[in-house]
Amino acid sequence: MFIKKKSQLRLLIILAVIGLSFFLFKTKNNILANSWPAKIFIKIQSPTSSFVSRFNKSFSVLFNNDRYLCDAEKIIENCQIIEQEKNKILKEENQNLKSMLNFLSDSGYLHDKKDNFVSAYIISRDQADQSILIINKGLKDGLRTGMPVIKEEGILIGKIIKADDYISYVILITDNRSNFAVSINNEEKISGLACGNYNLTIRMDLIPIDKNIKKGDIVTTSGSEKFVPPGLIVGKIIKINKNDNDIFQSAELAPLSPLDNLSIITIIKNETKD
Amino acid sequence: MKRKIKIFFINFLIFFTLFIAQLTIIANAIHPLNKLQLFLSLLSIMLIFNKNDNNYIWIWWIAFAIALNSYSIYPIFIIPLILIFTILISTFSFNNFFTNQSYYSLIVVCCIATIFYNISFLCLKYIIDILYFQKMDFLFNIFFVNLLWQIFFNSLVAILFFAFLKKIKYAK
Repeated sequence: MFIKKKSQLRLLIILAVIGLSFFLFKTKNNILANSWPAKIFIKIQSPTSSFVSRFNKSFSVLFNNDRYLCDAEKIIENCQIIEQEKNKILKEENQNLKSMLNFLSDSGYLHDKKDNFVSAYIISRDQADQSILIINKGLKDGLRTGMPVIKEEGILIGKIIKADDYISYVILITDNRSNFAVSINNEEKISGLACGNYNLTIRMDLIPIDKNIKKGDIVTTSGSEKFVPPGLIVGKIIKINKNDNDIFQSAELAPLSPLDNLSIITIIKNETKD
Repeated sequence: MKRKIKIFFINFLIFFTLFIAQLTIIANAIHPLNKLQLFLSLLSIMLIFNKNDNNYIWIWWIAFAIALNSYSIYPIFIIPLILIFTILISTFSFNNFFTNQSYYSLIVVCCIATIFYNISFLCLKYIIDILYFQKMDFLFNIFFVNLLWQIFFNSLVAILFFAFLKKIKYAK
């Protein structure tokens, strides 16, 4: 029998791995991901994953022509919404310019400074958790845990939860473990907390029961969080959960654009708040 | 000595290719193709093809699992530990229940490996989430559908590889 014959050696290997595991469990830094082979590996991975992503997009076009056309219309609509929201924010900023002199430097993403942005490729996904993306930029590029990640159009897609030397891990906004301080951009300026909802939608909690919110309202980041500037688009309200006996109500949000098929993303450094 | 170096080189090439394919191509593929765990298919094939000599490959599997785990936010022992137990379970079932080198055995071993790997992964992941006081998200429907897709793709790839290797073997 295979197990009987080699059992001693196998037991030794298993014990060695378990022992090593508990030793490595205590180490905070990822030794392998910070080593020079990892750097070479990332160089191989970036073009390959870019190719795969392009292939995926072509594949979608081939089998989903209607959906693609709808996507194009949706992108235009999203751009208009984003433009409106940006204008809204800029208008407000102008009004409060005297009292909030440092506002623009605080919300660095509105600047045209190149130092405030880092673009990165998605090279892979976490093997243990598909909602965690791996990008080819890390601590050496100035990235830190908690920095927000946006799409090309300025839509928030998540935040960095761990940064190694050459790679970083991004948790998607729809994951249960991601939280953002957000506000609804209506007349009342309601603040709340947005967190992921089973990798499908986003849930906004802690909205006072007396506040009026409606479907279609756009939710943006409030800027009260470290590294996260105000005004990043989080999503659109699609459902309101209100119970008169509760103190707070909650809302369900849908991201403005799909979070699959991502290839290039931008990280806002916004270190002025550090 | 030369033979050993040759075997070492071949093993390195296989596992390096597997690593790149799993982490770069499959991880970035569209749903449900990204559910494929190529290494579980390869594991089943290796078990069936190297029926009498599985031991030399162990160290490679562990090295592969550690390398794979280094690209994860979870502690570095998760994938090696689960893979070790998956290999043990698959080997046990192959040596004791599904002993013939047929397609049927291959599919069953592949299914056992996939189911055991996913369920133990889920359990360990949630234990760690509890330890780190993180919120847990689990929807049985999604997990079950993903598991079915994974079983389908893993078995399909295993069958294709098995047929290909069998053809080469008979051609020789």
